[in-house]
Amino acid sequence: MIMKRRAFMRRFSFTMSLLLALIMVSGCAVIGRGKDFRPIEEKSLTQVTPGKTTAADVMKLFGPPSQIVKLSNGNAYIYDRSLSKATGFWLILVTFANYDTQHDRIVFFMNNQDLVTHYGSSFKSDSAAYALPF
Amino acid sequence: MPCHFKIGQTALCLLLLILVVSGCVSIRFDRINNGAEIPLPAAGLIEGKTNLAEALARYGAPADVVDMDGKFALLYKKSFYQGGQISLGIPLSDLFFQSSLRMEATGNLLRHDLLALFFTPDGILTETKYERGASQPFWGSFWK
Repeated sequence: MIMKRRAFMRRFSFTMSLLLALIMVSGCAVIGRGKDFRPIEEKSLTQVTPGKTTAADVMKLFGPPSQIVKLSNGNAYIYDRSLSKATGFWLILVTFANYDTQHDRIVFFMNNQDLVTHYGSSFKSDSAAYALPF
Repeated sequence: MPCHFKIGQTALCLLLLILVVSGCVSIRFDRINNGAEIPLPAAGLIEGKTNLAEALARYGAPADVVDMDGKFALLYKKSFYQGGQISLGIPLSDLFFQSSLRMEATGNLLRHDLLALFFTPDGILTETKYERGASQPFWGSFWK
């Protein structure tokens, strides 16, 4: 009788512990990826030569800019695209969410003759990462 | 083997407790990062001497270019958001009363790393301003 009772208790403890563990880990995990795409390629920058390349050439290579800033002696054309990665965990009581957004950017400075005088670029979208918020 | 029974009882109680409060209590943690690390202003940046080409070569493309009546500025930005929410509610309206009891506490902090490089119309650096907000402590900044 005692042996039977012990066996039952062992099974009961195991079942309850398993159930508790299952409930604790129930919930859901979500990963998301969002891209604000523009066809700007780093390798196309090799075709840009300050003092020679015109605004028309730049737009032929990269399309219309995301933003144009009027400067006193010309314009700045800004190209921007981004990649966002989201990670979320919904447990029973606790929610964790993390968003990471990184950008690829090119800025061309044009003079009043619409010739590129300078440009700068940053390609960081590959560094966007899925992570936890701590 | 009495300990098996205790474990089972504890697990049962925990399970019931979780099931009971899971609809009433929730905790949320958020973090939003936008932009890459901005390097510290380098010693090579000399006001009155460094030109636009050197600044662009060192820092890459800025997030913004701002016209300032002839002068202009390049702005490099990174933002870092941390937020938290705790809510506690008892849906009494589902039982007897018309209203429910609900308490909620939220807090969030948005910090920025900013670098502003100011240039003459000819593209000579005149001023550099840098602020590193992401290195500020979370609680210290939040309650300041």
